[in-house]
Amino acid sequence: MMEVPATGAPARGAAIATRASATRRAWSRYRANPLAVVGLIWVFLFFLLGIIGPWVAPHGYAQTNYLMANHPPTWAYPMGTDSLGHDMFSEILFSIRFALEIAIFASLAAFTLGTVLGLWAGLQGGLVDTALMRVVDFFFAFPAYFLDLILVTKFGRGMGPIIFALAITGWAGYARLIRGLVLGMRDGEMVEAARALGSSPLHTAARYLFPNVVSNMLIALAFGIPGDLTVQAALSVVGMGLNPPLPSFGNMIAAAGGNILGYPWLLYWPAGIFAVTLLSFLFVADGLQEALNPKGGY
Amino acid sequence: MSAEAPILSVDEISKDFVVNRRVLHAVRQVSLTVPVGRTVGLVGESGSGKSTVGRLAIGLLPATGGRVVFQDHDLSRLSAKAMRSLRHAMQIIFQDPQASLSPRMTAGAAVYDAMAIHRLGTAKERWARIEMLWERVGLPRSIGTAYPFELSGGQLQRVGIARALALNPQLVVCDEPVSALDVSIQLQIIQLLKTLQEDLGLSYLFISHNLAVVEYLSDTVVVMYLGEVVETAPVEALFERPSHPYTRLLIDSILRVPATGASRQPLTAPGGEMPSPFAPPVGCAFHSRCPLAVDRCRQEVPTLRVIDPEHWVKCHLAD
Amino acid sequence: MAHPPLLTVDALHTHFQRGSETIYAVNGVSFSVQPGEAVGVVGESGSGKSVTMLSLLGLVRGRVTVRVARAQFKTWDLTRLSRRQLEDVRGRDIGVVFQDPMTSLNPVMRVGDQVMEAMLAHQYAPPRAAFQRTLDLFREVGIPDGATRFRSYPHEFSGGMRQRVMLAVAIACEPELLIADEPTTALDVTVQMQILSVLQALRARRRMSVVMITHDFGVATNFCDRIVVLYAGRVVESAAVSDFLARPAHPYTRGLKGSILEIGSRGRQLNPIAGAPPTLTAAPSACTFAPRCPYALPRCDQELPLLRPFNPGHEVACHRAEEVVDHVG
Repeated sequence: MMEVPATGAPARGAAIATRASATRRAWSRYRANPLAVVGLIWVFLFFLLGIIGPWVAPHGYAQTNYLMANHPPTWAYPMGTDSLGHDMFSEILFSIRFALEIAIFASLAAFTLGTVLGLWAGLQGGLVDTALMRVVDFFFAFPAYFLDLILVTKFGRGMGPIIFALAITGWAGYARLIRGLVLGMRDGEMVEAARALGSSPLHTAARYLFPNVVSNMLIALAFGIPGDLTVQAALSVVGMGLNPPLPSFGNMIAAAGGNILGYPWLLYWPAGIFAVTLLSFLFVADGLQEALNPKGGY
Repeated sequence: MSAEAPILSVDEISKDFVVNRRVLHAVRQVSLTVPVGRTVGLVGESGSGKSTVGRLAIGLLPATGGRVVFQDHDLSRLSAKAMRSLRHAMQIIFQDPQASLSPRMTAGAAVYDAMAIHRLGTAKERWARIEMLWERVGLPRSIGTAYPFELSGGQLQRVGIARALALNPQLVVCDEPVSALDVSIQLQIIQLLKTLQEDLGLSYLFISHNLAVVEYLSDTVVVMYLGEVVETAPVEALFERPSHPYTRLLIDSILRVPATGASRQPLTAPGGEMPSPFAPPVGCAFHSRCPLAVDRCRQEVPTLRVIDPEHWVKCHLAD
Repeated sequence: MAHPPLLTVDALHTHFQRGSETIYAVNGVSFSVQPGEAVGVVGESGSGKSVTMLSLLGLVRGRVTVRVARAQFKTWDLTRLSRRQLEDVRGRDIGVVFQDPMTSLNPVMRVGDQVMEAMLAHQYAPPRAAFQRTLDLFREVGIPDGATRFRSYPHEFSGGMRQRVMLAVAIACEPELLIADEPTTALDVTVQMQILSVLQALRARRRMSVVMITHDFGVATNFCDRIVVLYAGRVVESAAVSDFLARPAHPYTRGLKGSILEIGSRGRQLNPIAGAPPTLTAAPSACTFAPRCPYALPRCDQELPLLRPFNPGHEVACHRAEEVVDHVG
C-alpha cells in the first residue's frame, strides 16, 4: 500500500475551531447513507408496531373465525386470514412483538455475557484466556442452529427457552470480538500510559479499554439482532419455534408454504415484512459501522 | 556530586524477555543515578535497550535482576497497590503522544483522569488545575474539549506533558519525547521541558537517540550499546573527550549543517551493524564494529573503568 | 547550463478531498533537476514534499486532483503518459526509494527475486543476466555475501539492510533519476551514514540524478548540490547549497536553519519558529508564512509572493527577501 504521508498532519491541527462532537459527526456520516436512513425508519416503525401492536390489533392472536378461514384481504381482515381463520394483520402485529422481545433479550444476554467474559479473557490472559477461548472455539465449531434445536427440544418452545438458547449460542462471537480488541490494546502505549498514571486494572478496563471497543461492540450487536431474528424464524420453520398459538413469522411462513398458489397472501405478507425487516436491520448495522468506524475495520 | 541522595538509583539492573522461546537479554547490569533536579541523558541506537531501562526505572516493567530505588522505595518490594499510589511521583512522557492518549477522551478528560486516579482535589479544583496546566504547557484553554485526532503532534505532546505534570511528579522519564516531531516543534518542546525543570525542580531521565538534544538538556550522559552501558560521563566531558569508540562513532555519524564556507562532511562510515541481541558477540559487545579492536576485545569482556571520577568507560583500550 | 534539464516540473497542484473539505497539499510547485544533480527537497511534515513526488509518479491515491502545467522527464511529457507507460518509466528510468522499505518490499518473496523481478518486468535483462546482475548490485549497495543473501526474505534483514535491498531494486535498470523519499529517516545515525555513503558512491559512478526528500538539513546540505525548501505546498526558496549556507533569503528558511539543534548548542538560547504550519484547508492567497514571520508587512497578508530570481541560481518567494538578507547579513 502506498502512503501519502504529508496530508495527515495539516488537517489535524485544523479542527479545533470547527469542532463538532464525535456523536454529531458520526450522525452526519450515518445520514449520508440513504439505505441506512431508510432502514432506520423501517426499524423504528417495526419497534413502534412491536410496542403498540398488541393494543391496536383488531383481533387477538388466538382468535379464530372458521367461517372466514383462508379469506383474501377485506376491510375487516386487511391482510386476509389463514386456514384457522386467524386475522393475518393481527398475527403479524403480535409476531413483531414476540420476535422483537426474543431477539432483543437474546442479543442483550449474549452481548453482556460475551462482553464480560471477553474482557476478562483479554485482560487476564494466561490460563483464563486459554480456557475461555477453547470454550468459544467449541461454540464456533459446533453448528449453532443444531445446538439451538437441542436446547429448545430439551427446555421447551416458550419465550424463555428460546431466548436462553439463542443467548447460549450467541455469546461466543461477542466474547471473541472483544477479547481480540482488548488484546490489540492491552500491550499498547495507551494502556502503558494509563498504568504509568497509577490506574488500577479495573479503572483501565472501564475508562480506557471499554470506551475504545464499545463502538465495535455496538456494531456487532446491531448485526446480532437480525441474526437472532433469522434463527428464531428458522426454528419455527422446522416446527421448533414459538409454540402455537403464539404467532411468529417462521410459523406463518412455514404454514403458508403448502398453500402458496391458493392463498398467496398467507406467504406474501409475513415473508415480505420479515424480509424487509431483516434487510433494514442489516442496513442500519452497515450504516452504524460506517458512521462509528469510518476508517474501516471491525 | 551533591550530598543529597539521588532521587533515583538504578543498580545493576537486568531485563530478559522471552521471544519465541529464546531469551533476549535486553538490559544487562545497567546502573545509573539521577540526582534531584538534574537530567540524565540515555542515548543509544534502536535495540540498545534504552527504552526498557526507562520503563524499569519507574517500575512499569519488573526487572529480572538488580534493583531500582526511587526516593526511599525499593520498587521491587512494593505491592501493586503501593506502586500505584507512588506513581504520582514518577511520570513518563512518550514518543508517540497520540498512541498514549485514549482516542475517546478529550484532552481535558485525559488530564482530569490522572488526578481522579489519585483522588487529588475536588472536581472543581481539578478543572481549575487543568486550566492552569494548559497555560503552563503553552496550550490555549479551548484545547480541553478537543479529541486527540484533532490535534497536531506538538499539541499532543504538550497534552501528554500536562497530564504528567497534573500529578506533581518529581521524576519524569522522557522517552524520545521529540523524535516524532518536526524540527521547529522539537525546539519548542525542548524549551518547554527545560523551563519546567527550572520552575518545578523536576528530575529527568531523558531517553533519546538524538545526541544534540541530549547534550542540550542533560547534565550526565549514559551511552548504551546492546543492553549495556558503555560510557557514562558529565555532558561536557562526554562530548569533549568521548572515550568509548562507540560514543565516537555516534558523534561522528551526526550530519551537521556546514558552517558558511566550511567544507562538507565526508559521507563515509565503517560498515557493520548492531549484532542480534539474541547472540551478542563474545568479549566486548562492540568489537564487531570497532575500528580499534584487538584480540583481547574478542575474548575478554571489558569492565567499566574509571578514567575520571565521574567518567566511566567500558573499553579495554580507554585510558 | 548547456544540458536541458532531466526533469522539469511547472506549477504542480495536488488537492485532496477529505469529507467536505479540500486539503490543498501542493499549490504550484515548480522545480527542475539537471543531469547528474542531487536536489534536496526539504520541508516539515505537511509541506507537500512527498506528495509532490508521488503526484509526479502517479502514486497518489484516494480522492485527489493533480494539475500541472508541465511535467517533463527527458523527452516524455509525464502528464500524457498512460498509466501503463508511467509504470514503465517508473522503475526503469526513475528509481524510487521510500522511508519504510517494508511497505515496498514483498514480505513473502526472496529479496534476490525482487531485484531480478525489477529487471525482468522492464525487459531490462534476460533471467540469467539478471541473476548475475543482482549479485553485482548487492555488492554495489554493500550487501555482503550476495549469493547467500539472495535467498533471504525481507524480515530476516535489519532496517539498514532492507534499505540497501530497496536501493538495489531502485537502481537495477540503471535509472537516470533516483527519487529517495526520507530514505534514512527511520534508521540510526550510524546506518544513515552507511546508506548515504552508498548513495553517494552510486551517484558518482553512474552520473545519476537524485531527488532527496528529507526534513533533515544535515542530510540535505551534506549530500545535495541544490536545495529546494517547501512550505505549505509551495517552494519558498531554491538555491545551490553554498548559497543556501551563505545567504538564505527566505525568513522561513532562516528560521528553520536557526532551529537546528546541533552538538555544541548547550547553554545557548533556542529560537524556535513560533506557531505552527497552516492547515491547508484553503488555497493560499497570501504568504502562508506571514503569520509566523518576524518580517511580515501588511502586504504579506494580502499578496501571494511568487518564486522569483534573487541571485543567479537562487530563487526565493518572499516580498522582502532583499531587506531580510541586508538586515541580517
